Amino acid sequence: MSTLFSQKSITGSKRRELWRNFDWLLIAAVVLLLTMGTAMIRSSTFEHPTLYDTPRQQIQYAIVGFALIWILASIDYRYWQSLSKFIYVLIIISLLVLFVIGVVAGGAQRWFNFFELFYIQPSELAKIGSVIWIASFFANRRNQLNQFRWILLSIIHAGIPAALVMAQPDLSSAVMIIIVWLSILWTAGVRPKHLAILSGASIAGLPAIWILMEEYQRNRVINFLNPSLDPGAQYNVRQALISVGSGGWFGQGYNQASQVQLRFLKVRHTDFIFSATAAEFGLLGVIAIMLLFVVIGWRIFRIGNNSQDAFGAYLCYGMGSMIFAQACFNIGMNLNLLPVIGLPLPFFSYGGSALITLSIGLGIVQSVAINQNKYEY
Amino acid sequence: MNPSPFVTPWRVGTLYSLMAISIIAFTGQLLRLQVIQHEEFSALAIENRQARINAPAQRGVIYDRNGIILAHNIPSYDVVITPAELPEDDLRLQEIYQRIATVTGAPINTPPLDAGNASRNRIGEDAPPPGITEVVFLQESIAPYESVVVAPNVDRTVALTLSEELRNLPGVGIQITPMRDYPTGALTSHVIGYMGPITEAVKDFYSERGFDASRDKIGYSGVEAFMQDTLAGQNGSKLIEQDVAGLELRVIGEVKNPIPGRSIMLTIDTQLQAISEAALRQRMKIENQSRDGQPVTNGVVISMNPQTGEILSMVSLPNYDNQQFARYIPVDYYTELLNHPHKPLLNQAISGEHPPGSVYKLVVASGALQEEIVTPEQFVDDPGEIEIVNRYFPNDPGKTRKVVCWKRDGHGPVDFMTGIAQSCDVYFYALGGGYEEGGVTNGLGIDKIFQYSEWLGYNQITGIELPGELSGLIPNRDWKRINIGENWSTGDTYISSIGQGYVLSTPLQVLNSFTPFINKDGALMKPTIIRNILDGEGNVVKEFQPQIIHQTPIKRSIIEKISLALRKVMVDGTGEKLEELNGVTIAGKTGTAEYCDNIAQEAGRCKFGAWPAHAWFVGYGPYENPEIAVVAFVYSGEEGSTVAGPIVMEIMDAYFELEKLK
Repeated sequence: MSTLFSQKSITGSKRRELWRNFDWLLIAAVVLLLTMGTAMIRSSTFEHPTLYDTPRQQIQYAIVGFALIWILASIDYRYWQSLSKFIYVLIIISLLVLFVIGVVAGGAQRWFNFFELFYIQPSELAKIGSVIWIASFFANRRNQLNQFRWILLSIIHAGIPAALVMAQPDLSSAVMIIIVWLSILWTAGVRPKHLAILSGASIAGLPAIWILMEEYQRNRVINFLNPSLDPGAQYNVRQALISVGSGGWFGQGYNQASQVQLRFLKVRHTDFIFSATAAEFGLLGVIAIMLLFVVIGWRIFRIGNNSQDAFGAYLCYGMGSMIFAQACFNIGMNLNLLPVIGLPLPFFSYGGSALITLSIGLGIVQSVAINQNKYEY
Repeated sequence: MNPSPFVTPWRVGTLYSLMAISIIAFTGQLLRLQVIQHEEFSALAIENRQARINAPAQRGVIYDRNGIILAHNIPSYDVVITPAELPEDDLRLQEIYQRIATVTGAPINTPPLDAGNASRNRIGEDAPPPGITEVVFLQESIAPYESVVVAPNVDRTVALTLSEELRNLPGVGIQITPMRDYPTGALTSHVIGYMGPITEAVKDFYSERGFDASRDKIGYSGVEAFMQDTLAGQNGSKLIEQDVAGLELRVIGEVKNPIPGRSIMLTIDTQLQAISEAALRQRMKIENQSRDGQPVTNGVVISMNPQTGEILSMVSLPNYDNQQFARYIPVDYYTELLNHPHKPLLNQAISGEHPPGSVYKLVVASGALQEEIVTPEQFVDDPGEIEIVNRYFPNDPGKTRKVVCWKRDGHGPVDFMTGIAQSCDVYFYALGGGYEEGGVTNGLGIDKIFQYSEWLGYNQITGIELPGELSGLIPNRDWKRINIGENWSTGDTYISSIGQGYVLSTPLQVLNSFTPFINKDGALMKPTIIRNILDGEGNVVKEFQPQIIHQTPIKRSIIEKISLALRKVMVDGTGEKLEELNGVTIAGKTGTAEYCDNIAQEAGRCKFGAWPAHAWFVGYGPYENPEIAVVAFVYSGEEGSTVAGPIVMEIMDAYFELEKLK
């Protein structure tokens, strides 16, 4: 037990000192987002015949989430570095099993159902796992990154789970894994020349990705690039824009926006909750939400800067980029700036699996904070 | 601070920059949507949640003069499904569909195209009726809280059977909508007309007046069309707030309740209408048994109260069954009617233009006396045929041409009374165009003929409350110049004098032209078909008052003289063979009008000297105080006195028998 919780200290006083570095501002931002999010989930599902219970469920998930943050913050993050190969293999295996089940069942499979008790979405875990082993990979080869072969190897390492996730098919999680890889690759010090070569190669490789994509994913991209092609598929985005636009400066008021309350806005408690908030709280409300994400990003990157080792720093850069990118994809989709790839707004949209995953990630980040350099500024 | 060797500040700085860029981009887009385009999107949000609901007004009922229903609304039972209320379980769903299909015969799934039965299709629809599954599926994606018809117009018993099972059939309902019903069908179809959908061409007009173009129907012909505004009433409306599924949440603002349409009581007597049609059909049948070639199928009978102008019966054959148009207009039946040579959809009583022949002679008769062309006592010799000169301008030497009387050996010396009674053509040639050898130096001339025609209601519509009335044609110099491109000739005057040549008139005009003489007061009546306009409770809102078109400026003595002559027709004139009615004095006028139209031409019947002819007869009685006047017209009937005459006598006989029973 002692090794698991801290390599440095086993005495109570010392541990209290460590907890002093826990990032309360980061947690405060998350609590604010969760509170507003749950309020908006309630407004979006108010008196709905089947969804009325979602706010209560979201609170339950949030409680579990906070417990996980505490537990994971207590575990020294370097423990994960030593386990990264094991985690990697475990996730690859679970994705493969899911893929095989999917082929047998003849349909998309994203969930493991454990005796009807709880569901696990391996692609969500793969996102957290990817941060751990990509951070570990680059931390271990920090001094060899000027060699292009290590970069190629990292592509293969990150590419296998990304491809398996995409095959589920889950485009958004695959995109997140690629963003994590890119952000850590960048902060770890990839040579700009190498990055230029990679960019050129990936542009050349786009047709291959196009072929690998599922029909509905291709349609989403086509619809985004040319909305007039399929007016029916654009209904959700259209209603989202009307919801956002009708909000104005201050919004129509909580539980008051006709677009939300009369259910013209679809999936308003998950993917389009940002539009629902824009309708009810207006420009000022959603700017507050975006600022909270800036705070989260800033605090996580800051923890990374203060990390005592490279692994901790890369963990934070990857995790921060992932959370912020996910928020950007969701907001961009709500504002018709990015294609609809089906990503929820972190700490805001309804969804247990996503919230649990984010909590695990946040717990690991807090562990980095706790174990940061003693020097303070 | 001393940065760690593994942290490159400018690289982390890039990440912060990307964060800043995305937040700026989102804020820009938010400003655009929420501030600049706020009004626009707010309007769209309001458009989403508000809907104007149009409540149909009940259409008025049409009665005959005795209160018999000729057009009314009957409930049409439709089986409807509200998709949102259907059970989730697919097995239960199939059970429900199966039950509806068994009871109503509606298909569960849309049959393939070639299985369609064309006669069940509506205009513009070539596909068979869609299956329940497809109809519900479509509705679920459009408005799941609104019901959709899956089996239209089911039997009342079927509707009642299903009604009792509704508890076990969640989502299923019986919708009762008013449908127009015409109990008397073809018998009154030309008077009542029929209804049809609001077409694209008139959609804006009716939408502005509160109609729902997708639901409401409008009158297409007959009283249904002419009295559309009176019958239709005013639809109600209310603005509601609805959710995405179309569920009504609350009413916004003022509710306008529908105002039901007025009911109309016609002057038509259904019993007399039936007798009129039977008499016409019966005579046609007798006529067709005794002649070769083309059977007679086209004819008109109109009877009216000459003192008031009320039309008691109006029959036009061939006719059509407006009951078949009650729900929709069936393509096959409609096309068949359109292609029929005698146009069954047209009411020939007001839209059929034919040469009137001898029934038109009243025009020349009254003109000749009033303008003192002849005296009533003056005799004109009728040798059977006379030679007239056809001049195109005053000094034209002209060509001589023979014209004949219908009686080829002539009537001998003919005075005014005999001229009318015997319908002597030569006498009227003399009166109209002049006959020097017979003692008539100058005839009435076409200008005067035209004037007296208009005085008796020719060349103009009567203004009866029916759509599609035509004005007929009385030719004059200008008309011929413009339309034929020739000068008026004296020959044209002669032929016009006996109601042939270019002269055309509708049966209603012919009947109405007799009213100044029937009533013996010179008043040209305005024929009408509307007796009363009633509100929903049957109270009279507007009552009919007899109207006259005008008082003809013909001297009373001349009117009386012609009346006497019309009586003489029945005593010892062309109508003497017609059986007198028991105790009722009848007067009338026969007419046999030669014609050559495109139908006759195609059949090769236009032979010089042996033209085909229409049969006309106008009769009225009692002569002393006339209650009824009837015109019968039989297309290609050949002989007025033997074909049209008996029809009129039969109808008048029935009329007086019915009056005795009252």
